[in-house]
Amino acid sequence: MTELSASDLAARVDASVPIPAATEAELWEWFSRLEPWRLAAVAVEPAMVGLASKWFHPRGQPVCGLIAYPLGAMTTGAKVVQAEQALSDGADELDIAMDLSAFRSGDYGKVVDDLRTVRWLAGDRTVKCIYYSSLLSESEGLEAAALAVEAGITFLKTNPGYGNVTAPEQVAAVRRRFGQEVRVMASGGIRNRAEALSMIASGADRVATSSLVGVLGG
Amino acid sequence: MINSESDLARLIDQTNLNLGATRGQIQEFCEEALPLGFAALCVLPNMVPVASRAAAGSATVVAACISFPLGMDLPSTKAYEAREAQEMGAGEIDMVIHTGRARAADTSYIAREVGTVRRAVPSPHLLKVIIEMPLLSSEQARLAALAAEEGGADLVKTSTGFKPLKIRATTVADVVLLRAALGPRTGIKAAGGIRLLVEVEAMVEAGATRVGTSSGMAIVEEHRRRAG
Repeated sequence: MTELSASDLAARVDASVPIPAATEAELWEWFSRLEPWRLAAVAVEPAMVGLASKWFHPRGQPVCGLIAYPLGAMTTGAKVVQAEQALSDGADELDIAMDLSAFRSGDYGKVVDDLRTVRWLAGDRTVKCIYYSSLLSESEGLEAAALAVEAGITFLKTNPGYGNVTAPEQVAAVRRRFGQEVRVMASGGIRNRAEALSMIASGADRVATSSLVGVLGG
Repeated sequence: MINSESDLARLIDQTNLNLGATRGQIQEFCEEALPLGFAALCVLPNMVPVASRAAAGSATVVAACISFPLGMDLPSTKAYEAREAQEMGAGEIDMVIHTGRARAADTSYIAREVGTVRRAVPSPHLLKVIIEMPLLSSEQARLAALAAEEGGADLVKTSTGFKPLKIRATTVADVVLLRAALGPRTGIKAAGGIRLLVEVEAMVEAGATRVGTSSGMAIVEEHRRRAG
């Protein structure tokens, strides 16, 4: 695994914007710094999808829209409105945050409705479900992941970041439970190449990071 | 200025924006808060139905946090969320502006997005507009506050107080800045890291007309002990 080249690793990375409340000028500048890499996706919030698509689509770089991010605490209707907007603005992929309150309240119907509806809206595009692995026990995490799979989302994203750090064991746990039925993206707290590689060694298909230079090198 | 417990409670938006809070926890949060007579119970959109049912018939209204905490939605999405929250029983909306636009001093964008939400939830529904001052310079904050006022904000709110953003707490200076910038009919909500009675008093002294905190119960308790 240590022999994975920087460009092979880049192809497994979803990059997110490292600047809080970035201005348009800061975004263009950051986008331009991604030029050397072909990443799995560049992940941005809904209001930035149009801008990101304008920059990245001519360069063949997929853009991912973050839905109900980072709290997942929206109604199904609002998640649909957000997803429709992100898709019509050019999102090639969507990451949707699960309604963790509904999950913990035992309302699996709401959890699955959100996910199934957005999965359907996205057609043949990749959709990942953020299931808050770090806030759940292993068995709860697997149960949450199983709801995503039930809703037709077979790409699992462990955490939204924002202080929720993913441990390699969390990746290994979903990989063990679902085998090749799912893809897994490790997200949260990945700051360098060694951490990214340990996620991949544990079974991650992708890693998410806002520390692109740390993970890929300058 | 704050003479009684009910004066104090009427200034406070008692807040629970905990990620993954269960419906039972929100129900309990409301039941415990309602007898104290807070101005509002501030919750995330998916918890508005629970809080609205709990608060029905009381003087305390439910406030829904929209596009929270990042504000990175198009105005049309914010308007949808606000209208839907209102239909589910929210009497007040706390919306987050596009903070990147505020950092770029794009005041016409902010006035427009606030106006879009304002039209979706007309008066007497209260519209509070969060400008995330910890991420703004004084001048950016002043311009954003004026743009929010122009767009129809009833109150300008200092911060989301969203801890994972690792932003500073709201200060008295934030409130002073807003008071100097805004017209007398626009209120100010101080929020972000406020936990103590003295902090509430300092914010109100500086011109805050509301204070948002998840420590409302403890603050009222502190007031009781002091009145003792």
